[in-house]
This record gives sequence, structure tokens and C-alpha cells, in this order.
Amino acid sequence: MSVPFAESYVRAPATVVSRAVEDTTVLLDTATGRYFSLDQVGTRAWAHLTTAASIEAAFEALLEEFDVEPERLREELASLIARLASSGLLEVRRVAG
Amino acid sequence: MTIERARDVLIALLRSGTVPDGAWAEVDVEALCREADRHGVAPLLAANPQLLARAPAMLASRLLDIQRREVAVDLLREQGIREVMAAFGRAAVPALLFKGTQLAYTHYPRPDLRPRLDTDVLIAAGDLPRAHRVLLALGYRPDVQAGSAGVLYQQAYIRQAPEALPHVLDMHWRLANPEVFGHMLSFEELAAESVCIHRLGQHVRGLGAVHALLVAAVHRVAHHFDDDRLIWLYDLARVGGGLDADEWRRFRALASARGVLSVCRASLEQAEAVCGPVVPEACRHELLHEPWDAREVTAAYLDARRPHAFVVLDDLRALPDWRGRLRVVRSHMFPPARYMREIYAPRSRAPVAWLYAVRAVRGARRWLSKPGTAPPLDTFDGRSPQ
Repeated sequence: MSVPFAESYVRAPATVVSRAVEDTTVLLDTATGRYFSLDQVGTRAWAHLTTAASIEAAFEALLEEFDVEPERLREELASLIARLASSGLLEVRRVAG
Repeated sequence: MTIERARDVLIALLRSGTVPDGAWAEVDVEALCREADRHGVAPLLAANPQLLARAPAMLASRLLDIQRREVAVDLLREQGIREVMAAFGRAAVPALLFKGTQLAYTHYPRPDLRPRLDTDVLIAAGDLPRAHRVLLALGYRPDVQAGSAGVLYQQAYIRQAPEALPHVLDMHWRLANPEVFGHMLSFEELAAESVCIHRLGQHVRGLGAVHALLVAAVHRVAHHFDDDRLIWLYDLARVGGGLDADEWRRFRALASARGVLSVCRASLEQAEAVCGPVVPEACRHELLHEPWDAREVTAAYLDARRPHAFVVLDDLRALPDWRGRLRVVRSHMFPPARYMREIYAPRSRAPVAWLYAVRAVRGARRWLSKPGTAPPLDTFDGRSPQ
């Protein structure tokens, strides 16, 4: 799934709740009881993604926070979004235009 | 690895985050994790980064697995707690969270660090019908249990989502089921000193600190015969650690006035043996060492090997009239028919009268044996520790 970063944003569905545990995050889909754990980097990505106005804005924020090649970050962020979305933990929406 | 040895290792890990040099080699990771789970302390161990760094990789990994599971379970449970307490608020049913549920939010950095199987809510007996209707409207259903009103002062409700874990809510209208503990504190007394549980919202309340300590000290004895489960002792250390000297004196006076001083003293001594000093120096003599006229009937519950029949006799003696005693005897002899069917013959069509006869024959042996050797499963509420 290819997501246009500048034209999209993501939010957690109403059935998904999360809790920070030390520097990780546990996500739970209360509708299914399935849960997932994000590592330290995934936790920062989740925090930015679920609050930023667009995926591009979250990408920029993460680029400032981590010492990483932009292309690699873009790929990994797209991969994380795809995995979370396919598990029902994120909804990708179009930025109103 | 024996369960006694596993408990010793758990205590060492809780206190210092490690075990003596060379002791890791004898640790059976599976057995230790099983015991940590049973004692309700696995999440506390997993939250200690020094312990995770020193422990064998397999143990650290298993503890982190348990931690993630507990967080997920707790997230689900928290949603249920918020819904129920908000619904009680809308229906004007005053309700207090207590026991592990409350302590998880008032005395632990994160609620998932205090595992529990259900959510304990206390209401006034007069509000039972309304509270029942509130829970039914939220999709909860009463669970089958051994006793009827008159023996049990609590009712478990279960809400089962289609695919997710069930949320079990234990609604109490008395602090403890045994009659000798039953009138320790009334709902009105507890409500008058209740505190807001800010982490769950302004409308959610739990017990005041002195009452919370009293309940923590009594519950493990009244319902579990001085069981050595570590999380209950850890609770005592946490709640006690937050009390000032005046509150400790109030605790002592209240325990004495309500006839549970021996029980509280025993619980605190056990907590200190596991967690280190709990009672401040200024109150130690008064609370732990000062002699007192210890003819408290509740102290009998400290003897875990007392036959169950004696426990029931204490209950009967504690009741004020013969009507109440008759109700208790009837409830012990003839539990609800639904319970009899589900426990004794879920797939059989045998008449209930026959099931009562089978239970009477089997029960006679249990009633006269020592609880430690043959737990009287069908004469208590049947719930696992929380």
C-alpha cells in the first residue's frame, strides 16, 4: 500500500487504546482483544503519527528527532503504517482539501 | 525448583532486583514465571530495568511477555471500569472501587503493575436492584455462584465481548462475606472518607487511605486464610508507606475497635518479612508489640488449617438471631439450583434433589477436613485470587 504522505493523515480507530510502558507502547484493539507492542522508535512514530496534521508532518518531526537517512525513514514509516493499518490499529484518511 | 524456593527468589528479586551470585543457575525460568504470575508480581519484576539487565535472557523475555499481556488486559479492563462507573454515576448509584482495583490506580505507578482478575466495586445494599439494572443494561450477566444472599454479599457479573477477553465485575454490598468480618465498616463510613481516583475521572471514588489499609490487611485473612500471596503483602507495604503517624494511630484504633487487630498485626508482620519495614518507628511498639486482650473472634481465621465446619459455626454465632442462622444453614445445604446443575452435573439430567444428596455426602468429608488439604471449593465464592 503506497500512501501519499502530504495528502494523508492517520488516526487510531475508536476501538484502539494504547499505553506507554517505559519507552515502549502497547496497543490494544478492544473489539478483537488483539494487542501489539511498539519498540522505542515505533513509540515515537505512533506519537507523531496519531497527532500530526499529515503523515508528512509526522515524517518531518521524526527526521528531526532521529539521525537517519530521509529515504530510509520514509520507507520504514510507510511499512509501519501499512502493518498497523492492515491490523486495524490505524486508519489512513485523506487530508481535507 | 520448589514453590517455596521460587517464592524466596521472587522476594529477593522484589527487594533487590537480583539474587545472590551463582543463584541464577538454579532458577527454573518456567517455574519462576509461573509462581510470579500466581503471586501477582510478574509485572513488578518486568518494570525493574536492573533486574532485566542481570537476569538470564529467557527470564527477561518471559517477564516482558507477561508485562505486555497484563498491559493489554488492563487496557481492556479499564474501558469496562470507566463505562461502569460512569453508568453508576448517571443512575445515581454511589459506588466505590476497592481492593486491587483501587490500589492499582492509587498506589501503583501504572494500573497494569497490579494484576487482578476482576474489578471490585462496593455499593450500599439498598442500591442493589438499581445497580443490577445498570449492569444488565451495559451487557453484563450475573455469574453462577455457590451461595445465595445471606452467605455471600457479592455477585460477580461478566461481560463477554464477541472475540475479546471478558470483563468480570465483582459487585459487593459488604466488605467481606464471613459474618465475623461483615460489619467491620459500613458503606456509609467508607463513603464518608472516600477519595477521588483522579486517574479514572472526577466521579470515580475509592477508599480513604486508612480504610484501604484496613481492607488490605483483613481481606487476605478473611477470604484467603492468611494466604502468603506476595502481591497482597506488597499492597500493604505500598498503602502503609503512604500513611503518616496520625493515620497509623487511627488505623490502630479502628482495627482494635472493630475487632481485627490480631489479623491486621499478622498481615503487617508478614508484609514486613517480605518487603522490609512498613510500620514507622513511632508506631511500631503500639501496633506490633504492645500486648492487648486478644480475644478477637476474627483471629481464628489466621489458622489456615481449621476445618471449614468451625468457620461456619463462627458465622452462625456472629449472627444476631435464629432467622439469620437458619438462612445461612439453608444456603450452605441448598445452594442455588443453577449452581448445583453447572458445578455437579452440567451434562446430566439427574434431578436437583439427587445432586443435593451427592453434595451432602461429599461435603461432609470436606467440612470436617482441614482447608489446606481439601479446599472447600463449593462453600466459598469460587473465585480465584484478585
